[in-house]
Amino acid sequence: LKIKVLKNVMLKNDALGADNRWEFKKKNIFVLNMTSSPGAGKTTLLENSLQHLTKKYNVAVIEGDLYTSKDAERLEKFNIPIIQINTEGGCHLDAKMINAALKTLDLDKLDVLIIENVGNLVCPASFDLGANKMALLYSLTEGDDKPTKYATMFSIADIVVINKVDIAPYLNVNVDSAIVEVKKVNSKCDIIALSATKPETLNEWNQWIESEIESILKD
Amino acid sequence: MHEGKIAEYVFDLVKETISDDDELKGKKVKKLFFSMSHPYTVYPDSFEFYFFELIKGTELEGLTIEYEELDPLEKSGFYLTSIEVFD
Repeated sequence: LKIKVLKNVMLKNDALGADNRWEFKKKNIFVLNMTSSPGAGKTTLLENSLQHLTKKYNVAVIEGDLYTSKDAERLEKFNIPIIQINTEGGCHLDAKMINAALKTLDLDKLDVLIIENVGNLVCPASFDLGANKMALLYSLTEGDDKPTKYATMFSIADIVVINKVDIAPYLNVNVDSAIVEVKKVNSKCDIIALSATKPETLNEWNQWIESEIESILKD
Repeated sequence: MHEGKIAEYVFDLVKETISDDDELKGKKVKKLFFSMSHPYTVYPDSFEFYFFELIKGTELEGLTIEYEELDPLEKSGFYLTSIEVFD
């Protein structure tokens, strides 16, 4: 006896992701899912972005990490709510983890929630967290072949942030070729190039994130 | 590695589907049929490694798995398409 089921296996995660999204919408919170490979510079970009964002908005951060709280410790200086999620070896955050973390945050007092996902260019693509936008940080040191090699992640990004452009002269890759490679798999996403360690290069990024926040706050 | 989490979802989905379906209720599962589209977000070898470990010692132990390819233009994702049980 064979019975037809035809159910999406990710339904459970997707349903919880949709719950999270509804919760964020009700509270007018802009939620950004930050993804990248390990070492691409997510926490450094976050540190220098928070310097700017916390002056204007109420921000909270969810930090995803396999075992440590090293990244969360770097953000403690901002005196904002930071929720640490340790996946204990898990390679991504899922909607259930975010849902549980939300219960420890006062959502009525938030404008922005930034989720720093586990460094991985594969698995986070499969797990909707309920965020408004997904930013993919792509370090030039990874080489210009990554967009086509990790096409799923790049294809669902709303913005690709090309990082470490200051050391481009020492690499066999340049910003223009990286942009061409990104566009091969995602012609619709925004693309910004910067050096996360140099705050003076973050203007375009700060403008992008602010315009996204303002579009949510206006709703 | 996300296949570990997906194996858990499948385990729950199969159990829920069987308990909700009068024809399947109480029957032993023989085979699960999955379908997916390219580019794959679930790798069968990795998924099976976790899933077969998960069902050891449960009522699902002993089942086999079959996959079919979906047209990505029609549907994307990883689907449990059918459950076959012993009569």
